[in-house]
Amino acid sequence: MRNASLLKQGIYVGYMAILSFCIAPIGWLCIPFAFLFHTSSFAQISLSNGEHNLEISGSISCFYNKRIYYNQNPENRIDDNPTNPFNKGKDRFGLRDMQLQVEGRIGHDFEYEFQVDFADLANGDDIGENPGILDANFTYKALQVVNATVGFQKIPYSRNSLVPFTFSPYWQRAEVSRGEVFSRRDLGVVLSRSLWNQKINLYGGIFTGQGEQILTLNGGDNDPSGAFEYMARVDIAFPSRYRYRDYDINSSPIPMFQIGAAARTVNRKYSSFLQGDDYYLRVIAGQKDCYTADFSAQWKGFSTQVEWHLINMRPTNDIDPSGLRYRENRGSQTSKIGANPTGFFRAGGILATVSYASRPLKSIFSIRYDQLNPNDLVQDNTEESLTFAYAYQLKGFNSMIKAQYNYRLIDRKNPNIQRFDDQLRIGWQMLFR
Amino acid sequence: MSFVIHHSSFIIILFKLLIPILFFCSCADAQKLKHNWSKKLSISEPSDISLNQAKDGFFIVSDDGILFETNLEGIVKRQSPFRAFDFEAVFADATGIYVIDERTRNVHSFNPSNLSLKKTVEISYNGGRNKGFESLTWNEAKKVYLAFTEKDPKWAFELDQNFAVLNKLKVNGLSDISGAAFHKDKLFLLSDEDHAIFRFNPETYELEKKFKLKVINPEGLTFGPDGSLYVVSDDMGILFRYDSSPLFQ
Repeated sequence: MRNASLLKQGIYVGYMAILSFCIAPIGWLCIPFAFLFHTSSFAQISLSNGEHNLEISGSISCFYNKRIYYNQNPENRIDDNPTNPFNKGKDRFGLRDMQLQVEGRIGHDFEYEFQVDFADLANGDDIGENPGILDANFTYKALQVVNATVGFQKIPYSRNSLVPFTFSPYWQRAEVSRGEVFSRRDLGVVLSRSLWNQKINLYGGIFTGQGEQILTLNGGDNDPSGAFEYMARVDIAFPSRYRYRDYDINSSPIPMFQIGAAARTVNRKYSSFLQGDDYYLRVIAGQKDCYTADFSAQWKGFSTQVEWHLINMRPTNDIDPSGLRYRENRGSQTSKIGANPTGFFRAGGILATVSYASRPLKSIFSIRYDQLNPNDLVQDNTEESLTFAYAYQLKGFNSMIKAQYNYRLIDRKNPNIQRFDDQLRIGWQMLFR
Repeated sequence: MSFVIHHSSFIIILFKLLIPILFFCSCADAQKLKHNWSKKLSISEPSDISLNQAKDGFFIVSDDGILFETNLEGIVKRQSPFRAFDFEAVFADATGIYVIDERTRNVHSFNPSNLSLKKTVEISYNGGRNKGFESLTWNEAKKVYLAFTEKDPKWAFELDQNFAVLNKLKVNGLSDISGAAFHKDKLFLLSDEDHAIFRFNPETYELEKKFKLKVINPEGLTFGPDGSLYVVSDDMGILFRYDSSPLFQ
């Protein structure tokens, strides 16, 4: 075992040394290629009649995915047969984004936004993390005290979730915040207010609690209990407004800080466990209370984010509706598991990112540590990974070659799930915005 | 702790790679300006500034679409009754006070006596809503008004005295344009993303020199009656004053 571990570590160090030296030049090598497709302007188009302003923007991104398997899990093999070779179906090109966004401002009082990802619309299987409809909402700004945003929208809960994906050198969000353990979007109403020159942001919201599945599940119906999900968030920045961005691309001359905290709660009484791709925690039957806190700072190109999550779940039904996707016992009020039988379990984790953005090098370097335990009643159920990302900005975020290498530090010991050890993604994003 | 032990070798490799790169990046060449006075403004999201004609105060516009007049210390004396959407550029001269609404591309002219709206014309531009006209100034060298778009792309529109477009040129050498001013035969452009002022030749629009600022989100610049440089920060809501002599060396 020791030799195997050392071998793996050696392979890993070798991989990373090669990657560290090679990934950056990939960006340089792509420059001549990029000029073939390079347009002088990526600006979005806007139309205005003096009162109503409409803006059109969008994005396309595509990546190559390479997964590296070390473990002997049968599910990693073709036809789940241990005698067969590894199933390399995930070594592929992927169309991640094909987005169209329309935003409008009407006078002083109204704003609206709708955003569609056609790549995700075509992939109807993964409605959770990547719904085809990303935004369909409008904001009424004429209320004296707060702004009201109504419709399908991002839930202002996790700061990491609020950062637009296209402003990142990574191809995937951290495990804890990518929308597998809590829904990132839902239908509802958010009241928001900014104070102290936008250094303080306050949010309060009410949603269906169905998350992204509200777009498809049961024709868009709520849980039979009719219960809603409630959330609140506050964040404070100093010494100036701090936008929801993770990389100090403008090399802030003064240190900037932001701290935030949020909570959400829902009690769904009748529905079964609903979909999730890996953990089936996004929406559950029963009481689900989520808490998060975050810290972000940036200065002279360096930036860091730390985000912590805790989810308390008291399920009322442990039967997966499909009968096929149920992979581990969560426990319930009638079905106890673990050494200390309990009617609830916890999930949670953290993500921590350190990055450096360099305008002269047109590059972003970033390292992210993320940890997730989807069920604290199950032994050896924590997964940890370290992800290295590099982005070469041909034209800022508008044309960016980005690569990430995901190195799994510790895996969960669940024998029933297909696991990969490490993963490389490299690709190109182009935005017209 | 186990993570630190098992993966320390890689982290050492990584830092060995990064440190020289970061050192290279930190070798900034631009001259740095230090402010000698600052004042917290009572104006929300100030986005541009111009010296008034009496030279006893400033006109400052806000992202809320409001024109203010302040004294030289940044204290608000009065504000326009007219409210538009997103004012990003203001310029005042003997002929009037001119303000551009970035969202609608309208140039509003105001009566200096009571700051009432006098006239509105439109400069057509279909670029991004928030990447429209960010600055307006008078180029004495070419006897034209200059309106600059923020970025993607950075255009300089040369305008006649009725704000009709005479010429359109690309501007290079800076990441974005958030403010503009003409002073002592030089054209100065402000960049929010670069945190810097760039001196240009007003005849050829060639970049001559760069000056770094320690200000978050600088959005407007002007020169005071004594020649001091004033810079207003949107996100910080602060007016900064600088000795302008380094700008002309």
